[in-house]
Amino acid sequence: MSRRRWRLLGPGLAVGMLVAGGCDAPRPAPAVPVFQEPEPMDPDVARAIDDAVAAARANPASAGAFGRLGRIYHANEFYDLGARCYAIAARLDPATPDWPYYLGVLAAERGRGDEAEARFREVTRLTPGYAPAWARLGDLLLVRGEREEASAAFDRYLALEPGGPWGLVGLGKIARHSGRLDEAAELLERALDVEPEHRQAAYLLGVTYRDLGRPQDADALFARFAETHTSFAPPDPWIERMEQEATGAFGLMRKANALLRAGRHEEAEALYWEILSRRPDEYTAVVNLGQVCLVQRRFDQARALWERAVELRPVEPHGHYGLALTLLATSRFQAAETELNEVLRLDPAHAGARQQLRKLHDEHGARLGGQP
Amino acid sequence: MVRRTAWLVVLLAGACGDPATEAPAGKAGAPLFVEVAAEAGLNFVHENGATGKYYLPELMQGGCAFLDYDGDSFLDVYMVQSGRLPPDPGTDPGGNRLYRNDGDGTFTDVTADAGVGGRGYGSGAACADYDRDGDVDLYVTHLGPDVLFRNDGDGTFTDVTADAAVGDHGYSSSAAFLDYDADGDLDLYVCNYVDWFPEIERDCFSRGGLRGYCSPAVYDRPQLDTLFRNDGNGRFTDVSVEAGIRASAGTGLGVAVADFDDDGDTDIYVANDQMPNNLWINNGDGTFTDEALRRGCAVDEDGRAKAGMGVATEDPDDDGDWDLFVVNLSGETNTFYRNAGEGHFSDATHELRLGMVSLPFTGFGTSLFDFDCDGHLDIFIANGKVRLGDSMREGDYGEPNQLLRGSASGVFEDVSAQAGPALALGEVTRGAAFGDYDNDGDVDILLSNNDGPARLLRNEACVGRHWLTVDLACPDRDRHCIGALVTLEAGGRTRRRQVQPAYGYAASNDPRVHFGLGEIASVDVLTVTWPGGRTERHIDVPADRILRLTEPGGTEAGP
Repeated sequence: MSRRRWRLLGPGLAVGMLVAGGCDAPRPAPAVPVFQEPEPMDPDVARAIDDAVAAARANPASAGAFGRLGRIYHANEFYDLGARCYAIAARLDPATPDWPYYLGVLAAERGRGDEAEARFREVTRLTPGYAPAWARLGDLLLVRGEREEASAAFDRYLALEPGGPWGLVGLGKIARHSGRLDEAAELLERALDVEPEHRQAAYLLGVTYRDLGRPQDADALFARFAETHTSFAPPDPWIERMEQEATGAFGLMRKANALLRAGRHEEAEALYWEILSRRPDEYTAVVNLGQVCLVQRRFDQARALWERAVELRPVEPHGHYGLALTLLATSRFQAAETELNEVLRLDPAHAGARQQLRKLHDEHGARLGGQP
Repeated sequence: MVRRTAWLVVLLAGACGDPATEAPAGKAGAPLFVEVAAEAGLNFVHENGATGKYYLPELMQGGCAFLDYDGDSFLDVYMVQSGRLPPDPGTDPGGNRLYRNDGDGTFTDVTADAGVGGRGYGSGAACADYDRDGDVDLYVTHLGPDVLFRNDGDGTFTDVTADAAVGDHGYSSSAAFLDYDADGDLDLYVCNYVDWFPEIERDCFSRGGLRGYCSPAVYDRPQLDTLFRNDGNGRFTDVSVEAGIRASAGTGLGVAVADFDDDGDTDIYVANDQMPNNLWINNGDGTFTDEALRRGCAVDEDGRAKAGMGVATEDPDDDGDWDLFVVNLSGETNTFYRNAGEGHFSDATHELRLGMVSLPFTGFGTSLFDFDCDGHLDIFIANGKVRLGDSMREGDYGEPNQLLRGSASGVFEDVSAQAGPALALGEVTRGAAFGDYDNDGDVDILLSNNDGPARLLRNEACVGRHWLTVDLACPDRDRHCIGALVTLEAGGRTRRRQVQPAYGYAASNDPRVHFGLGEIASVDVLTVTWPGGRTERHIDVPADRILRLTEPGGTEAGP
């Protein structure tokens, strides 16, 4: 305990502590947060947690050990345990900004606004150069209705990341809420110039154009929004570092799906194969791999995957539909027709199957029946 | 001019006492709501049939209704049971319960006599006088065929589903009666959720490998909603295709109806779970177009399609149009869509301080209503998880419900902690019905807990404040004049409400219109716009009464 801390303590408390063990008594090692009620868990996650728990127990004064355990819990959706570990890490090493950052993120996601704000302010004080902390503080303050302070936080973000869409969109929202629609439009246009796939900016700009009495421009933006399926994730290295700890099959699945949505097919494919090496019957991985192979015109591989999907879950129209598209792409029209009919039997409202079947009949109707 | 007739008189004991200047809400230190289900005789316990297979419907069910089935002016209670899963509507005994309000704060189970035990795996209820015979009928939604009970007017009901042709076979959640074609009878909109059957169930896990319920997106089988047109002869026709509402499938859970674009006909808003919400704009020719995206109420301001559960529509900012409040999943904020006029919405969630308070919870039932009679609409949210929380204990899905107090500034304040232990029970609440079951001038709350007991929250918060409840009757239309508007001018403000018992989640609510008046003991002008468009005005209407008005002629009765 530092001399300064001693001065802050009242004399009575100081005497009490001396009686209890004195200032030289070692501080008790923090209890390592672990599951009270073990649950079935992904074995890879369980192993990672066991190792990190052992490391924390072996190094009770190590903020890094507790912080690492916190990241593993956090990445695998054991949020409360993660927060408890981060809190211990922050106590052991108050100068490191990572731990309050993660605590702020968790608090913000759970609606604990006061705590989240305090944590993010602590981070910006410890590391004023970490831009995402300013953006998260801005987002939080905006949710709390503190527009002026939010605006200042986004300005700090933009000073560190000039032209960063995160900050531009934040300021655009503030301008919208303040009735400064022209300014909002200008900020959101800049965000879209920087990041054309930014769905949020496209939508907000559409609403802003609508409110500015520019319905045609608005409709164009709404169409762009509806057609954009990739999602823009602003860079946040600390969060990405935490996410790396999601090493179980289900954590990998989330990552792979996110990569697929972002159009990063090769990276997604590698993860799906990794998942299937651990869980060979994982339907979603099979289907999404089939999708990747189909898009990349690797039809033999795609067909094998879609057939596997149908085998795993014959009642799912999705597998039959993917198989049908693959068969169409390889001119196996009769087999494709069978699969499309099966899709419509399982899901009479399946617009895609209906459209493909109509097209098939229009283009190849005469040939159907003789096709193997 | 107000004419008096002897249509019906309900004289209320002065439950709200004398007007008091700046009276606080409720008695000092007393809870704002008191849970009285057991002492009132509501012994219903919902069963979800969970067997450890994590079937999607298990965690979604729990519907309830306030309705006055026997016409005695006291709200009765209907609780929807689920039961065995997968269900067998052919053999499963019905577990729904109808409780008659005895008028003294207690209820009697009259299910057997009334014949409304039902069948199958129930979801929710919608109540209205669809056959225009002066009593309230009952539509019960299910996983599987829905059921329409016709009120025979003698305390019994008859299952007329087949004759009426309204047995929607989807996985129905919420439903609403509305007169979309303005022909004077009530049509029926049924929200369908997911095309679910046991064979499509999947194994879903958290990142850490904990088994849990799947999100609806996993199935990728959103189900088409259904619109039934009332043919006026006891039968309905499924007009979903020709009306255009089959243009998109959604995971519909909540429905709210109103004239959102203020063009004189009734539109339909559907809250979808993890999909963009629908705003079906009535084209006035029997067709609808989904304009939610361009009108700004499909997604939140970040462009995210949230997990829409329940939805309520009212006009809390008194600007003469219908705003929307949609409750969502934990980790997402609930969303308040402010109508800026003619059905153009903006996300005003954060401005109204509704964001941060909602992040920890998953909302289902909800209402915008004036719980403390101070003249400003408040919000109740019935919460309960759909995924495991921090405790990671199996079955631990309970959450406290929330009460948010509205204010003149428009901002809402979380007053759940002051509401008393009734709100902190931490159960898995789904449906919530709102109504004044004891006719004392405040709005009480009926809760349906998933796999748990029903709760009845008696309101104690209006002490010392004035109120006015308007009960409309349309002998030539439906009993409660669904679609009618009531506009109240008092204290320099103009407020508008509509008659529409369908809102929230899987619930049917008190069809009477309630206004909290605060210190105002008399209403300057009360205007009723009947469903046909005719209006009538009433001047200097005294407060603290249930005012009954009958079309035509604007018949007033009362003390």
